[in-house]
Amino acid sequence: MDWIDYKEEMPYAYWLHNIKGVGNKGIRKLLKEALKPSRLFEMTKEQMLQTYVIKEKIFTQKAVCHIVQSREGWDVMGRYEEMKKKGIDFYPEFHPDYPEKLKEIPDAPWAVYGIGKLPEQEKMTVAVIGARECSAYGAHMAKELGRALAENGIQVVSGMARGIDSMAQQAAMEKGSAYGVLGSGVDICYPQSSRNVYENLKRNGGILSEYPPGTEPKPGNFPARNRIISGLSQAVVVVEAKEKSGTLITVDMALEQGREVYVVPGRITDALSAGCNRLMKQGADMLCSVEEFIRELHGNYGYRIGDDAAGKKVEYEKGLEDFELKILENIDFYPKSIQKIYEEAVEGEKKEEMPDLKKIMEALIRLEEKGEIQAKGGYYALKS
Amino acid sequence: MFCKVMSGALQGIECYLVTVEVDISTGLPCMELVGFLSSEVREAKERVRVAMHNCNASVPTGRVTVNLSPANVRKAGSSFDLPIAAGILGAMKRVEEIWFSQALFAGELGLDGSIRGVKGILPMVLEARKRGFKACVIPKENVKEGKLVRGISVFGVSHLEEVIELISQKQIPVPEEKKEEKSTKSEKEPDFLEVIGQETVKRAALAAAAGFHHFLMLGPPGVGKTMIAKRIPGILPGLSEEDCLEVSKVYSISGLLKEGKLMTAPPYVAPHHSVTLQALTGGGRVPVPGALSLAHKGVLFLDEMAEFKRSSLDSMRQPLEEKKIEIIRNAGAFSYPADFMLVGAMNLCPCGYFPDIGKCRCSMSERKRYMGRVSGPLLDRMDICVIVEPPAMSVLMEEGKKTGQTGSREMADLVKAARKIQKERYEGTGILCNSQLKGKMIKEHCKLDKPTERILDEIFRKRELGPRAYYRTLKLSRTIADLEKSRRIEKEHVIEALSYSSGLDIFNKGAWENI
Repeated sequence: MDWIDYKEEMPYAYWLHNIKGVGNKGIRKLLKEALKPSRLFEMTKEQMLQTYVIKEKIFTQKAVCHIVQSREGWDVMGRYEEMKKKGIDFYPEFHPDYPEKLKEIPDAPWAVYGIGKLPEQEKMTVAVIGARECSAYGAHMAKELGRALAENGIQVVSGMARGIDSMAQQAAMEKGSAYGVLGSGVDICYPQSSRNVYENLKRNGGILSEYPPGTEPKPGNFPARNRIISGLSQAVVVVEAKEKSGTLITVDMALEQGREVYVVPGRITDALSAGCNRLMKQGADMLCSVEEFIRELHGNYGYRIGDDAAGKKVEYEKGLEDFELKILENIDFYPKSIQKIYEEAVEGEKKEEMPDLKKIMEALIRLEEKGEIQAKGGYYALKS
Repeated sequence: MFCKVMSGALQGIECYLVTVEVDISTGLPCMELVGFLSSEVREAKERVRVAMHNCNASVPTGRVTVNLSPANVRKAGSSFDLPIAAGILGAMKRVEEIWFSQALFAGELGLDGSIRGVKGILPMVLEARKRGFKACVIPKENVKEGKLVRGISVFGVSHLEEVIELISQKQIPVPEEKKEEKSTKSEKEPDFLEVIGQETVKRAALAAAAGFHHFLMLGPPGVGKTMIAKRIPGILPGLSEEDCLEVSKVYSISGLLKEGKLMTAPPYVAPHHSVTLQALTGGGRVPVPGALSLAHKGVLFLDEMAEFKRSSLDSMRQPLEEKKIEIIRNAGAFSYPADFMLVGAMNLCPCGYFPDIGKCRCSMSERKRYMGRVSGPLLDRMDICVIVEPPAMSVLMEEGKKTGQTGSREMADLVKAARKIQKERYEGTGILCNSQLKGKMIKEHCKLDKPTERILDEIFRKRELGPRAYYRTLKLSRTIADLEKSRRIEKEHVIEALSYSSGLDIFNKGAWENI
């Protein structure tokens, strides 16, 4: 459909999209006959019944009555202006800025709402998703990916949930832009704990949703929301997911939509990596290193390799003594108590060469002082 | 026909003297008890009348008036039966003069004249000795407890007839001395040798015992937190004579002094987490000591600390500071000592397995709520906090092969030596160990050299800790230095102290976002 006068149609499209009980499919069916939202709005009840119930037999009489009723008391211009005043943008399918990538997916949303920007069409977009309850390793990888992607001019999309999602977005926004797709109206910040990410996204990216403003987050909205996350992206990276995880729904959607799925591998004993490792077994791509991943993305999609993506190997030799280095090797992103570190350090050592507790404590304090590790309530972990 | 005999009543853990005045005058036959009495004391009237009748010493027909003085203090308990009976006997001229002024009576009467045990004998006998009495007549059941006090004749009686016979003697006889049985340790005390691995926790427990520091253990279920706590009293030094009497008094008034032995070892009290506020702090209409006082000079172990009621936990804040509990009731203000070492154990989430994300099923908000049940001010007083984790399989398998394990005996010796150093250092200041150090004294006794101070500052900046934690670490460093018999606090001591107190920032806001 070519809509030269799309601007005039916008307020009517907003009304159309706000009719309760009429979904994407319903709107498309309605417009097939009416062609323009404004024309639909101006149709009489009899005309509608004639067109949709008697002639085409696609709606029941009750549904048509419902549509007619929804027009009553709906101030087309007023309601639209009210929404605009809140800083919310509305992009129905016929809007020239409607994301091209979404058009490719099955059951594409007929319209999306946005605060801030929409993902730039000419830039590459990658979704980083994962568990809410993540490990320090997951948090580290999420931040690392977010940062590296943004540094290479790649946009990050995610769901703003606690854990992996919001950490990747937050890290990306420090160097570039990120986008969040919500399961509620764009004017509702859910979850509340991601408030600062939400505010940040308004400035350094955008917030999107297919649900009209004011929609409360309902559990049923989230799987549908996930199809938009993957739909907006060329590739989806799963950082951490348990064997049964909502993240895997997004992966299914991504595969259905023909998006690349990358997985951050983990140890097979980690419950939080079980889902990721299972995906790999099923054929998902493994993400071995962030730099390689970005190179691959650029290769696949023909983009220039970022300058600062050159191999940055973590160097530990910062004046660390041998013993500290040895202790450091045993420390992980997963928190360990001093007792565990001690047990690992003495294991296999001859009795005379066993380091004593004090030496280990001193090494730990020195590593902490140097900022290599962090002490978190009696546990020690690598600084993420 | 007037007569008065002496008895005692309890106020807190102390005893005050009560004069029992009896007068028999002509008039309608009746017996009147006065002197602000509770109902169990009022009922003594019937017990005394029947018991005396059954011992061929019926109360004479006449108007009998009994007054318990001081008359403005409420009197409770059943220990006045015997002194009232003795007073009536005195008024009947059946008691020799010397027993009126030189002896203290306490005991409950049965209708047949038998004499039953009462609570609080130890403080009564102590008070009697202090007032220069020559004898105490107490129930046979409590005689072992009474005989713990030297320098006073203690008579254990089991029947009113014995009493009548005893007090009709002109002189106070020498009570038969039973040979003291050598107490043999029949029960095997739990020993730290049985704790496999857990070197860090054992070391932390050692430091806690050496400085009487409060001690908190965090970790999943089934890793030995309770096992370790049970072994802490065993490495604490035995009680000094003064402490021993004080602790024994608390147990005496609670009727818990076992087999009439003094409490020579530090007590160990482990109330269940469903404990009521009264049972913990002490209370009741006529107050009795609670768990906090029973743990005086010993260990109070709170297992599953987060499961305790918030009000119960917070009730400990005052005693932790003041080392005693003040209870105000109708019957007056009572003060019980409560200078204990608090040992706590808890999980890090409701299901218990955090931070093992594979096993833990709790959400972040559940975890936060769980950790929030223990209030900050209470945590602030825990000088040592350690993580206890299950030992590696390899450590368990090597059990028995390893010889380097430290046992309770070695640890107790180390604690004893460290306590001696502290006692000498704090001579004349009124404190005994490092955990009691305050303000100015910390500055005086816990000096650090510049490089060590710099490390401490740096770590505190990294961990974002406050001044209270700073002083906590200093006091703990002092204890560790004492354990190592070092006069100065060296770098290594501070480092060790920092390793034990880092556990507390677990409770700081945001620490749990993503472990």
